[in-house]
Amino acid sequence: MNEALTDPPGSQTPAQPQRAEAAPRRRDPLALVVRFQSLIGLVLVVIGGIAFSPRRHGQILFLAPDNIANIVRAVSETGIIAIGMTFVIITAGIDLSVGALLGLSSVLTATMMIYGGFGLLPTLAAVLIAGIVFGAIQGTISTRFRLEPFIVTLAGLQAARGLALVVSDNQYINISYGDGPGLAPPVFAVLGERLFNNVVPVATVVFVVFAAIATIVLNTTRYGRYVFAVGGNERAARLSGVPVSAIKISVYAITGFAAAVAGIVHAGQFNFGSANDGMGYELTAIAAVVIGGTSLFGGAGSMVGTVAGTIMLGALANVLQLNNITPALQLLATAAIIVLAAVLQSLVRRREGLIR
Amino acid sequence: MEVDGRPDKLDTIHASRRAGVAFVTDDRRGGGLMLQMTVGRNLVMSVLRAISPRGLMSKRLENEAVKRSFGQFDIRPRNVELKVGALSGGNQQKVVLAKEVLGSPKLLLLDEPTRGVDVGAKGEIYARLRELAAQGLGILVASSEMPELIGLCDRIVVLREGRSVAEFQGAVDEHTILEAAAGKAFHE
Repeated sequence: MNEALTDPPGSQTPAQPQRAEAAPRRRDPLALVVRFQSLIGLVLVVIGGIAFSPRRHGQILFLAPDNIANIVRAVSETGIIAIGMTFVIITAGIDLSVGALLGLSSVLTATMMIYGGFGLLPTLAAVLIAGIVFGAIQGTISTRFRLEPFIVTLAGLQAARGLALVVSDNQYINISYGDGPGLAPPVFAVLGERLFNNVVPVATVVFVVFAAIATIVLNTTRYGRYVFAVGGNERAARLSGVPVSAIKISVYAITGFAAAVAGIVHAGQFNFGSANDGMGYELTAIAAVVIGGTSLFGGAGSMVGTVAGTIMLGALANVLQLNNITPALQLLATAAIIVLAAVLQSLVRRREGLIR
Repeated sequence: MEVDGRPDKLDTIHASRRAGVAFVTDDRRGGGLMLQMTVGRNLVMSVLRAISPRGLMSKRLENEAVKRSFGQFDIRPRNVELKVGALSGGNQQKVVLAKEVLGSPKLLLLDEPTRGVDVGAKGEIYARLRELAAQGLGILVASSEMPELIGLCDRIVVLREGRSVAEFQGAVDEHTILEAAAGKAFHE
């Protein structure tokens, strides 16, 4: 690093022409690809989907409105979680508890309405607050005791599953609708329905609204800058006056909130609460975030990328399903895409001189 | 410690910043910069609060702040969208300094301010620091480079084992400083 230290500073030479500064660098094509990798991937998957889609009476099944509605409905729960996860990963953290927390939230929602006799709003409020608190506790433990979030949220995963099993007594809690004790308010069933001439799934609307709010928060608020700063360089952030601990705790509160929203949507879509649901959702969400171009090293990422990554994974699974390709191959295809995304990211980091 | 005549412990980063004390570490990659972020985003890091009224980032205030920084330090290339990691050591150091100066501190603490900085950028950084000092900013430099201290400082204090052992104002040569730093053992 040290260049020759010979110039007597007393001489106060006016700024010399800069050494080896090179002309402003042209946009690195690789960086450009990585920046839009999830959108490019999405386009490729859609083109592949159209090309390989089975046809019926000349209609491309992949593009049938029902099929598209299916894709965006199927990804809405993991998508909501991935949105929250994006905040955490930008701070260079990780949250493994979200799938289990979705299960716990679905159980809580069903239990409160069916066995607790609570109305819709108290139930929703309680479940959302529980999710926020659960996440904030994990964030607090992680920052307070300087533990890797990987470990803390791994424990959180177990805790959430355990709590869900206790609350539900390991039973499906079916949600039936109506007025009176033991029945849920009929309006809750709307989460399983479609809007606008029975086209747009309500779950997808929740996902899109959540994504829009998250995009605004990340890109236009001071809070968003703080999140990037913590992941970009924690020590520098602290020296610059960023409230690092508070930000770290808050992002886990956000994933907790997201998991609770997803759990409520889950309960509404399937009309039951189940302690074992949401298993592996955390990994799908993390995959979507990484494919979306957000760096696991922190400090870089985008919400649009996460949304595109989420839909891309859903569309890919859908194309393979339409062609009756086994789930085993779906997993392998997803694996290949994750590796590709990670390799691209690493190449760009190398070029930018972040790795030596 | 006293700040403006009032006692203040300055025992946290928050307290120090509030009192107008800014610190530039000797380890800019480890504690100064967010390398994968743009020059612009790094520059405004210490004034985020001021440029985000009601929590919302103001593009106008942010651009003004960045422009002020570029006016003060000749950061090359003049491209706010470039990742800081892509700049030369000298220009990275200018970004770190510009970032802290932007926060209008009353006292600037610099640890090895020109470590790994090329000669041209060094001269420029010294010139800027002298200017800022002339404008009334207090600057405290810790350095192991004698020529740097001699050229830059109004007053040089030599510390040995945590205690002040000598103080120089005005002309002084490298040998004298080293002698004071090494203590009597140096003569024998």
